[in-house]
Amino acid sequence: MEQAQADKNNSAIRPVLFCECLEKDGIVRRVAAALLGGYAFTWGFTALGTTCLVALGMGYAEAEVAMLLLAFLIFLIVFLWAFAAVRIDRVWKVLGGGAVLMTVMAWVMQHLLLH
Amino acid sequence: MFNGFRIAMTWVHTWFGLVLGFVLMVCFFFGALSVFDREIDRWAIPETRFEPQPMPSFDRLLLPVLEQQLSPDEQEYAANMPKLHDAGKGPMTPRLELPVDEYWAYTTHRDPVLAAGGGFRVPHPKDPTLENHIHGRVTIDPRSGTVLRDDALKIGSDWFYPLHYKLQWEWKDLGYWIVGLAAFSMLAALVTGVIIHRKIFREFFTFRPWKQTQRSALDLHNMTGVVALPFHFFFSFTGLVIFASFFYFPLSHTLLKPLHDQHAVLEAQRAGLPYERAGVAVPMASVDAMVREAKRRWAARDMAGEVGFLTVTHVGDANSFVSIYRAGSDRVSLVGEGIHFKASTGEVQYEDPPRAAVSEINEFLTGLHLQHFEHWLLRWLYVLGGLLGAVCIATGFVFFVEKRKRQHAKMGGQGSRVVDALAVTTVTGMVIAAVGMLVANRLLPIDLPGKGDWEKWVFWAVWALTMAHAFWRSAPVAQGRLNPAWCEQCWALGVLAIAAVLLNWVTTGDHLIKTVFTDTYWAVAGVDLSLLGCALIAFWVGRKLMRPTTYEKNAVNRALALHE
Repeated sequence: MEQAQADKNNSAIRPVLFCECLEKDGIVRRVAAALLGGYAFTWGFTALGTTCLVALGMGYAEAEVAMLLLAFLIFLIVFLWAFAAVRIDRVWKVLGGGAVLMTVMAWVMQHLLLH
Repeated sequence: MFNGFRIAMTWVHTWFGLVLGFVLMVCFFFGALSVFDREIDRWAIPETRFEPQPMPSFDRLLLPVLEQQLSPDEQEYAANMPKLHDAGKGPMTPRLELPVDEYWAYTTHRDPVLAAGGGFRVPHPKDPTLENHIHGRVTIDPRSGTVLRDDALKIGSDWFYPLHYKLQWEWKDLGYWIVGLAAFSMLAALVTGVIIHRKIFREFFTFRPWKQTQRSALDLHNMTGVVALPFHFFFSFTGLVIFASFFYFPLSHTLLKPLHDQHAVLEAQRAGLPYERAGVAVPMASVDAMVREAKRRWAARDMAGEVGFLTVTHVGDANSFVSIYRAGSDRVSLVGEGIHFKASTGEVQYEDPPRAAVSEINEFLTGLHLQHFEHWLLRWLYVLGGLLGAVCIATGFVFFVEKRKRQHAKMGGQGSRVVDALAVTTVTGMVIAAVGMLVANRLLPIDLPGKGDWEKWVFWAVWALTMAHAFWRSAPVAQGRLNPAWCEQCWALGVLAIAAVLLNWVTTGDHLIKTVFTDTYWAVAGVDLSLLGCALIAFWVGRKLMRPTTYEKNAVNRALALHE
């Protein structure tokens, strides 16, 4: 009986193994999406936010600081979402697409502000 | 695999926490030591054991020292001069003939000695829009103007402190990036940790040290994680923000450089501080008079204070200006209320304007991290918070190993054995390396050339040795038992810490009765007392680890009872 109890305990605290995930779902792709995709998304978000704030009349240094304070919180949210999301292709679409879109928009915005 | 939200979060917590936890140990432990970096400097450089001094007279004391004894750094000259110099425009200027372009001096309310330095101009630069400076620095005794030996390593502020944000890994700034990733993982680990543990308030009050190691490690992990949760989150977050614009999101140097430069030019025009030299030699007016004027203006704004930082730009030129900043001893925000003077006449050229709301917030947050203000209780609370963070991460390792080692033992896996050895390296090994460095500092002869470099080598060598020891002794983990290296390194740490205190006494005559009672000097007494505290804890843990735990004893009793 003690053995059965021990077995039950054991399964309850059964650890999540690294290799287990690696085989079944391509954990490397998840980590890449969360880190690289998340970073690129945050980069675009921060750039676009900065140019938008400057367009609204804020000083550049001020706008940059404001966005950098937000950047890591945004990164944190999309990073965790990349692991929680059911479908990895959707994660890539949103993060990759968002990154490209926002970076281009920031670049265009900057162009408009300078001229 | 990720068919459940909580499982996904557990995965992130476990694996990011584990892999980057080893880096986080360095950040939290050496970050905690950095709170008292200046005090550790005093311990390591006995000739600087005197009271903190205000900024000395620039005209009479600093300027002569800087003019006569400051020279461009040899290593920096060798590395950067060929890169910055345009060979097409003339021969490369020898190191000691470079003209000086900039001086600076810096002190805080905890500094007996003054850090000062300068930038030397490259006469024929490739790209004239760059700074084109070869730097040099000196440490000055502000009472006499004596320059300290430059190989006396400030173990606190020039070794432990930078270790906690860049791991002393200069190549490609990789150290900053690894620490950045670790700090970000800490944020993720805190959020996922809260998600995993729904019963967070109950767990906050749960600690069962008499249970098996796995259970009590988890309790301690949860308790230290939750009790200092805001502290951990705050320091990881602000640490990232401090370096964000330089390293992590350098928008102003890349994508948004045009916009940034346009605003920087406008800003500079408004301030009216010349960006370039005029090329006309003009002598400098009295800087001491400018300091008096700056102090008068601060007092008029109801924030009287001392000078913390002073710079002279374009030294000896008609465009030269002097910037004077307030020491931040009495406020959290790290702001200087800079006042800028025309160097040739001494008249005020520009005063830093009041900051807007966002910058106010940013400077408050980063100021709270860097803690330049004077508040000794909070300083100790920072140490406590940092050490709680280290305990939280270390117990995470222990929990990871305890949870898996029996299973690994059954399956013949080596994973928990490796993790356990790395945990020994980053828990006891790291502290042994730090204390070992202090011991080396007292044992190496004072006139040894390059003494500071020897100390750095000892630090790395000792750390590598503890790692080798941890792996060498790790075999029992693969059989589900405890690595004896934990216990042995605890004893080694205890002995080293006591040795450091005794060596400090023998080599300098500063024993605790003197530094606490008869000739009080808290900087050294504090380091000695902390070393003794560390020794006590190490011996206590070492003793505990030598005995079987209650759980193991119970298991043996149960087995015996069954047998009968």
